[in-house]
Amino acid sequence: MKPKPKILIVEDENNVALNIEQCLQNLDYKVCGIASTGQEAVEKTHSFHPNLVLIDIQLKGHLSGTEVAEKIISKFDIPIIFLTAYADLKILQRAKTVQPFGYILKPFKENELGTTIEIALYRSRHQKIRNQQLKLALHRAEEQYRLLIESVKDYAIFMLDAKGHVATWNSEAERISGYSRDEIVGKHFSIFLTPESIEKEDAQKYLETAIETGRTENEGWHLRKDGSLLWATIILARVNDDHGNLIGFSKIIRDLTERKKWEDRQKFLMDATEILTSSLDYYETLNRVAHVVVPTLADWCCIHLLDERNNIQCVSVAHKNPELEQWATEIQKRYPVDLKGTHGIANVIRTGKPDFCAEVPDQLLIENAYNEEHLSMMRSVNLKSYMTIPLLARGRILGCLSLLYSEQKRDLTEKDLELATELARRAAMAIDNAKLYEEAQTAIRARDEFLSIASHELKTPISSLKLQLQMTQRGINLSENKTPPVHKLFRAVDLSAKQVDRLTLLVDELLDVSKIRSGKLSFNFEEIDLVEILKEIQERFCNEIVHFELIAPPHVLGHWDRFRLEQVFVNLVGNAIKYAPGKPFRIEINQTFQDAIITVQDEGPGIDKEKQRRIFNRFERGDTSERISGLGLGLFIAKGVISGHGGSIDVESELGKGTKFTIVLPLQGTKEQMELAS
Amino acid sequence: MKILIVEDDEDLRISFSQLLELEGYEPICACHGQEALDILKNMQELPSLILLDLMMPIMDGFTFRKIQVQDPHLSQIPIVIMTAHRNVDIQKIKTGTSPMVYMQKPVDLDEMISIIHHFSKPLEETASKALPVV
Repeated sequence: MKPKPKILIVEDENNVALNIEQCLQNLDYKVCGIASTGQEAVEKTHSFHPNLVLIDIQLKGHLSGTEVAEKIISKFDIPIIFLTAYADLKILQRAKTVQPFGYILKPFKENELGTTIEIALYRSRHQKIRNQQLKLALHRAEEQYRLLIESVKDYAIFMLDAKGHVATWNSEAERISGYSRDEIVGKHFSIFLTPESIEKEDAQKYLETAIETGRTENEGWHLRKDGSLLWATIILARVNDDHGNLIGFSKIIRDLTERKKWEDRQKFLMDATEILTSSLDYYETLNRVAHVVVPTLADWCCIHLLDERNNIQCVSVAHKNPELEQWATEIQKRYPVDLKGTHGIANVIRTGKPDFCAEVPDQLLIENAYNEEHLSMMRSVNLKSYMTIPLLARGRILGCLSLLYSEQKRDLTEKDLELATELARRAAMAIDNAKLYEEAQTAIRARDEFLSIASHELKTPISSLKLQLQMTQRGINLSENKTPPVHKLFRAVDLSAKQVDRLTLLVDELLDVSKIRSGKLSFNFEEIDLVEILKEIQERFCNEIVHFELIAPPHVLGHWDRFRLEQVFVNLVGNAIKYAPGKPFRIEINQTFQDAIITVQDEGPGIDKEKQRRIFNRFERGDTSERISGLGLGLFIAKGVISGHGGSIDVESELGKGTKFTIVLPLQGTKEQMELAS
Repeated sequence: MKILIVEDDEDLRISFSQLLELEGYEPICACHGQEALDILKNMQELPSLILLDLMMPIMDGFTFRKIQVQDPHLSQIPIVIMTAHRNVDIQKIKTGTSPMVYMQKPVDLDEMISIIHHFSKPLEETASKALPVV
């Protein structure tokens, strides 16, 4: 059975109250109490939790009927019905603001009271359900909103009060700034600003702009709790109440630190690349790049390159402090890096693997020091961290790039290493390109030189030939049947034939070169006596001005190509005569178990070291300052021929002390030849 | 009229010499630049033209030309440069105030005669004497 609704009666006249109680009992309600003052009414409401309160509007005492009603409604949310003897307009007006659920004029009929109570109870129940539903909906909406704010990544979203103090906080705000909700709520938002920004009074400016225009947006460096820098865009928007009054601000901080760092890295790389591609003088270029690295990326930057003799050269030093730069260059000069070293630069250049150290221990300096002075110098540099990255291009190690940090230690991240590696890659590419360009230029110069020489060599006999033929042609008069005298004709034909022989030799030489280049030089191997060949050559060249000494055993037999070996020795003898005219020279032949070793020694001007390395290349000549006839192909062909025999040819020379060529020829030729022969 | 031939190749020197004689000139031969300078120093009457090869031992044509243009005594003698590789050589040769022409090798007889005539006409009588015979 449904419990009876409980009703509290608030009435200061006792008989009226009893009358009402009687009525209510008749109507089957339960009267849970009667209060004769406002104070009592509040207390009894609190104790009995009535479903409804009937209040005499003209209550005597400290609290009026409407005041009691207000208290009960606001405190307990219990419906009330006013009872009144007469309808005073003023009182009615006042009663209306309390929003009572009913209003009954005394004297009333019992059923009238019953109806008003039923309606009030019904409306009250209905309103309670509705309120609960609304509350639930509001709670849901708030929860959704909270979840939305909390789930946003990379955006700190929170509210400021009208003065700019933090009022709300989300988890991303905590992640981005490092402040917890408890730490930050109530603090002024200028806590996020950098000292420079505070000095410019930016906080006040932002608030003013937001107040005036509705919002303000800016991008820049901000401070985290730990003092580290945060690059962020900030949107500050004014928040109004329903009447348009300022109640605070919404603030959105977007963390763009990573993007900013990426942009800075890209910009740095672009600047560096622009410098690297601006010139083909890579020494100058590297120096400029080192000065871009400092101070953006490091306090100190060194670039080392491996030269042609495999020595490590420091080609560039940049230091944050220009005075120290000079000093750093001095150290590099005084203590050059030895490729044999087991640490740092030498190791990177040898292995091609990067080396980095976030915190340099003193032990490392001790291990790397050449001596006490060097150690104290290195200690004074105050080296904290370093990265050394190899300069690699087309699989070759060209050198390395070192970034050093002396002020404070750096937590070298993957990103730092990535950036340095990318810079090194681009620098290496620039060096490689510059070197290739230099090589190409040298090759072009050598080719032009060769073309010039070859043209001259070929065109000189052609000139003679042409002139002789044209002069003879002019001497022939067909109509008069006249020819030049026989002795003149003979001289012209003889000279012409000689020019054709010269041309044939030159063309053969050129053809040999192209055969060697394409690996198609063919040999006709047979058992021959080297001593016999050289004796023939000696006889051919020896005269009153050529002193050609031959020291050899009676016979040196081997499996060789007679024509090609003759070609090689004629060339070497020819060179000796050409470059050291009138001076004696000597050929010595020795035989070992496997090889014939032939040395050709002259007393000519000698060849400098630089030239010696290139002398067996195409188009190289021992002497370019003065013209020595020949295409400069002789030694290239000689090397091709000797290599084809499985042997080797080397030169030893010193300026002013003559030149010695040493040829080692295997007696039985190469393995392939032996296989072919068998 | 004297013409100085500076050419290291003996065969070509002989050919030039024969040709100039035929044309009625008096050829004088030098094997390289230094020899040419020595000859010029001792000559009473300077040659009216010098035929100059570029690539020679001891002293090449480039050096000879450099010295020639700096010597006021010699600088006005016209020069015929005989070059095999014109484009490369022109960049390297020192130009001076005296006339200079290039003649591409292999030298053509008619071209050579016309160039020589342009700079120095041979004496009428010696020329007519020499002409019919090769």
